[in-house]
Amino acid sequence: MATNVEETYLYSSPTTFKVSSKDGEIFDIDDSFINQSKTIKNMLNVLDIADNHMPIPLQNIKGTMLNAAIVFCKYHKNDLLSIPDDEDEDDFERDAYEPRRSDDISEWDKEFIKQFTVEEGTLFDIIMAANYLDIKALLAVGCKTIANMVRGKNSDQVRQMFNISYDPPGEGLNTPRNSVTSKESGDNQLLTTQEKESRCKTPSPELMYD
Amino acid sequence: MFLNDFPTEILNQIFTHLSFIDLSYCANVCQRWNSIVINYNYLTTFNIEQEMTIPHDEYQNTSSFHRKLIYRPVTSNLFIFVPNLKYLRIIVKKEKEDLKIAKQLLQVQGKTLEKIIVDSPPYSNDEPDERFHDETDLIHDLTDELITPNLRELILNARLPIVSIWNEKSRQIIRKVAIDVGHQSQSNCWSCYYSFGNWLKFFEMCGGMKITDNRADHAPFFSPSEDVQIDSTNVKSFPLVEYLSLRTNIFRNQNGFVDLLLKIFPNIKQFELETWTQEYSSSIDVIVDNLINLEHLKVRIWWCCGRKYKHYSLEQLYINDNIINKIISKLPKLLSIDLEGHLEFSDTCLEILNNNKNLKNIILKHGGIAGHKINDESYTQPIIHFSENALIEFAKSHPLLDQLEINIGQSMVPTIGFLTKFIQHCPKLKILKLYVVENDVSLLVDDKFKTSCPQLETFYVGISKE
Repeated sequence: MATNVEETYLYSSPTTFKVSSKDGEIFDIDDSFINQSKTIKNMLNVLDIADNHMPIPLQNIKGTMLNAAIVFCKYHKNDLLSIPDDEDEDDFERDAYEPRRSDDISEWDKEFIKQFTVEEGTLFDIIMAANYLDIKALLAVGCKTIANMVRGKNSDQVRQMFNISYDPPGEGLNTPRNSVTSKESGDNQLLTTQEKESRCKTPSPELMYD
Repeated sequence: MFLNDFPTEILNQIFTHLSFIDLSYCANVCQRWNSIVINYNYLTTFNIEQEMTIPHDEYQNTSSFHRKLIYRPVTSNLFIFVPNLKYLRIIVKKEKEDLKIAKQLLQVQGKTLEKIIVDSPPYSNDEPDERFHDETDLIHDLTDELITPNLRELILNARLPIVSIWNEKSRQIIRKVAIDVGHQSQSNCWSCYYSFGNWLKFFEMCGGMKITDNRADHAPFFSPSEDVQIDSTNVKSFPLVEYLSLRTNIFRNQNGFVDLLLKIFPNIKQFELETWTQEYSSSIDVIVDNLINLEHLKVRIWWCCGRKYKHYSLEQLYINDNIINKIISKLPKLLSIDLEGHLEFSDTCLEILNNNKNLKNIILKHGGIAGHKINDESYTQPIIHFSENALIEFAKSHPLLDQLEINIGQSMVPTIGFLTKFIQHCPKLKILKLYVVENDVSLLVDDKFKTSCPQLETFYVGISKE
């Protein structure tokens, strides 16, 4: 637990710390990053921060992603820090589901995220990094970008785009209609060949919620 | 790294940006996506207007009612079957285009559905009478699609013309029904006429009975016994319906219609009524004399403001000790009571409520007399004289109480000491809302009190406007 003294210290003075990535790169981070990454903020509260020359190890994140996250936070340092926590909105008994907007990504963010959509796979890395570092704004931009990619696509296109192997969701009682099955299985032929090259594993279904 | 390595919460965050149709494709991507989409209830509601409308910039700033609706073209492969989807609520407006879309969705998805809810959005007050003239029954077309092979529960929360879905199969499935033959705005004499006509239509559609209609054309007033004869000996009933919600005025003086309704729905346990009347007590009489097995009763009454009722006394619309007495003494199985209107209570009301120790939900809210602009201030304030002792006695008598929303009037101030004592007697109480008349009373009870009572999920003390 942080004492009051530490908190004042953290929030007020422009301090820099060092973090190290999975591949050993070392970066300086300042308030802009600390204030936006809940994970780092919590770490600093827990760790002994007297010696700020020892880099904090971030074993889950590649240097390129860490660097990108730092750039993102620097640009967004003046944004309203108190982004409302919309985690509670995931109400399982929600009355009527209404999709949230995803067309509100700013120009700068669009440009920023472009570098990850060009190189296959890195969009997922930056989202996972944002998730690990708990940087809400970056995570939101990433998720909106993926939502925009999924929109208007059919199941096959989504599978191909994201390299997901096809395991028919309907087993037993709720097997899809014949027409759907035959259509899907025709395309399945194509996917199975892809599958051999793909590293994608097939996750087991989620457990039912009560 | 690939998309399926994402933890569920990230997939969830992505899905929250997608529409019903996009999500139905996502639910076909793989087992994992299917179970997330199903288990997190993304596909429980299909709001046709919301999903199918192409936003029209020109109308963005006007209210949704006035915005011209332009639907995107319906193609034959718009919907895709979603495995494992068992519940679906469709919000449908009584328009041809909507029904075509609903029909298509049900054709694709029907076979896995176990529960279907048909809802219709509230109509605007602007054009209240339009729908009464509508003789066509568009939803009739949906009958085959709605009665799907695995269906166990069908809830029709839609207006009258939808009910022609009644057929033999539906009688064994339908569990909850909401019927609205009410007028959207305040009633007037013409709306009574229309609603009688609609009731006749409704009874006719329920089948089995003979209706002889000898009304003169456009006769605004008629009596069910003389102008319209109903032979209900062979009426077909809906034995599974336990919940009935009505918006009508037949509970005022149309006993013949009420009898018939009870033959059609013989097993009602939960009843909600919204009606207009000139005498509260007589409407309650019809309910308590006929629906003796009720477990839940909710009544909202407003005043008929038709010209001929001008001289009626507003006192007849009060919810008073006498009304509570009728309900509690004649409905012994009652677990839940929900009334709102102009309240006039003394401690006697609490003593009467003590006679039913099984009550779980009690809502007695002051809402003035609805349906009419009344300038006289005496109608806007409740007349309630509860004593602290009687309220504590009331708490002692209701150990099962789960929800209490009640006006406690002007003669007592709820102190923290009182509330602590009160809650002690009701260990199951989760929702407590006490309305007072004075403004400053809420200052006596602060948030600290709420935190000291972890059993309470909702807590409010103050004037009735929250």
